[in-house]
Amino acid sequence: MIVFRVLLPVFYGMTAALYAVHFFSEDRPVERFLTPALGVTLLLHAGWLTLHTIQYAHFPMASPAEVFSVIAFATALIYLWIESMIAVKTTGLFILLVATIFQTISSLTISQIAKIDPILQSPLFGVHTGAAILGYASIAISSLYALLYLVLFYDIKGSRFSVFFNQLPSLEVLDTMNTKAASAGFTFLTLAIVLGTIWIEIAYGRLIMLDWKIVVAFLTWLIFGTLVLSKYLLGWSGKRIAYLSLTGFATVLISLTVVNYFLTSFHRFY
Amino acid sequence: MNGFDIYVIGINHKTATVDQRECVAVSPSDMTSLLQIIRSAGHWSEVVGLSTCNRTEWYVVGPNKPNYMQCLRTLLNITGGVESWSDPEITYVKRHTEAVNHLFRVAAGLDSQVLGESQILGQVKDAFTVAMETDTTGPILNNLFQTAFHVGKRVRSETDVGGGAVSVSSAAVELASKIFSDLSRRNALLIGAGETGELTARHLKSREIRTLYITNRTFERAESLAKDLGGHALPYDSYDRQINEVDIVISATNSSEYTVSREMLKDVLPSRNHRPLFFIDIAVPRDIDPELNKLDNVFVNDIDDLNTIVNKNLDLRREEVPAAQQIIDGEVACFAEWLKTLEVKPVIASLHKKFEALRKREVEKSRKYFREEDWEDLEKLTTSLMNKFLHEPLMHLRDAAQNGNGQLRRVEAAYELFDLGEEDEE
Repeated sequence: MIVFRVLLPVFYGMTAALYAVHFFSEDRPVERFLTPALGVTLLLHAGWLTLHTIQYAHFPMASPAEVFSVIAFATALIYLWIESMIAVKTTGLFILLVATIFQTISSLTISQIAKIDPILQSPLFGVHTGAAILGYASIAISSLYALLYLVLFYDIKGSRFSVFFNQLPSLEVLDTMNTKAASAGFTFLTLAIVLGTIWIEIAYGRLIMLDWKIVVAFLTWLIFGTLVLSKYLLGWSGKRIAYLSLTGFATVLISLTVVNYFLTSFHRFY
Repeated sequence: MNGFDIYVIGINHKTATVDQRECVAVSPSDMTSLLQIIRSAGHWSEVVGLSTCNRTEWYVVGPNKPNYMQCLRTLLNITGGVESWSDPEITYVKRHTEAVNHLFRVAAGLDSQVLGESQILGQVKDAFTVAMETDTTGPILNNLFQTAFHVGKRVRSETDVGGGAVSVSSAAVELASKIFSDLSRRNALLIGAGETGELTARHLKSREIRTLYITNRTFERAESLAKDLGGHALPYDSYDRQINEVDIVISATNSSEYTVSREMLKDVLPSRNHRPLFFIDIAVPRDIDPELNKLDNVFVNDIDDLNTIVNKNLDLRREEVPAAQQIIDGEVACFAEWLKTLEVKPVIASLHKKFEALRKREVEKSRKYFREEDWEDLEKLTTSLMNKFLHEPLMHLRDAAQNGNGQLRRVEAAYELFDLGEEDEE
């Protein structure tokens, strides 16, 4: 398993490097290898997740490090789906950089969990965590498209016409991808919060709302809910939506990074 | 090369002024007769003429002796009624792989005035089609031009030498397509139907813009252009009402006042429901109030911005030239290999012809010594023997042609050893 811990960040890093070469040098021969390279990395990662599940008898979502690895996998997988939809490969570098960072942190901090709390082996918990991870991965992607939107927006407004102007798809595409990913993130997050609430009720016999990670998750949910409503009810688009998405992601980052390394477990109550 | 070679003689935008190019340009209606005249002069077995606003070039296959090019210069001067083709300052002559390299560069757009432009490939194709229909092409120019088309496509698909907009009007459309993903779902308004405005409108139309509104101080001009482009003409005093309907506004007037001001957008923007509005200001002095660029979802780009895009794209194209030339070098080398094999083909054919005649003569002489039912076996035996005797010499000739090792020496030796020169003359 140690081999996978080393190989996964290396593969993500190498794939991101290939996307970087394509982004900066517009090297067409490299373009052909991008999707296959990402495919191989995802297969390797899927293999590790399967082996890990078999070896430790739980899906790797019981510790922050395991969750980070699954987020890297989900982010790269969702990006692959987006790439096939928009047929543009120049945004891959930024998303795969995030996946590489998540996987590297995971590989550096992961440790064998001796005993899994039986509460965490509940199927409901599995679906709750799965929905939360997909939600966070979608939010990460949404915020990256929001960031790229703002970069291109100010590039055009400021008449700079940098490499981003040449390489990025149109503002409309970036805005659409941001909104789609944000909507998906909001949906998964809603599901995760609802299932989490039910699971707490079943597991502990009471509702625990004082766990401040739940509060942060709820805040994130509110921000992305505002984003989705503003988009579909008020017709907001572009810069405002991009800033909302980035604010939501900042909240997620606080939840997933700062809190995880101050607390010993994912939530305060287990 | 032994016997024949490929030549190109030409005058182009690098060597001659537009006045000089005009003198030697050949109209499509005159091209056919001129091709026939050159071909019927007898020295050149294959001819293709390429005449565009930037170049007039003649690709010929002829004797491997430079003085024949002087004949071609004279012929072109006589037929064109000019002296330009004798002027070494403005004409260039290239032969063999240099001529091949030149055509490949032309087809790839590397020799064009606007680096990487794609129109030239279509013009080269048209020139070849005319020559083919006039029956002045042969195996060599057929292969040369087909390879040139392939090279042109390869360079465009494998490099970015043709990438990005390199004119102000196309840069405006490139900029619009960085804001909107699909221009066919967008409406545009052109204020001022002058030359630059018209060009930009045409570019937008070629990208299938949904509706194009055109307004001009002289309404008839707006009407005429609208009819030409399939747009709608608007009176100049009421175009501001249309801004709410459009996504792109191109302004190219001579007005000394802003054609679109902040005041004008005050009522428009709230009702647009955050839809982006893109202003392309191609006028000097400027038509669009630059302050509008500070508004959310409003983009204003002027002529300087468009020129910046054009210059950056041209720089990017220049950076791609070495990669394009690398592709061309590889293709020139392949074509040169093919030419080499072509040189030994007449020797091989002559050898076969001579040995076959010899075999037949000897078989006829000896036929009487054999029974009639054995004649077929006799034919088979002698043919087999002949092929076996010829196998080694032919293999060495082909090998020499492909590798270039002592090729000329071996071809000459074959001619002498088998007395092929005489056979050829016969």
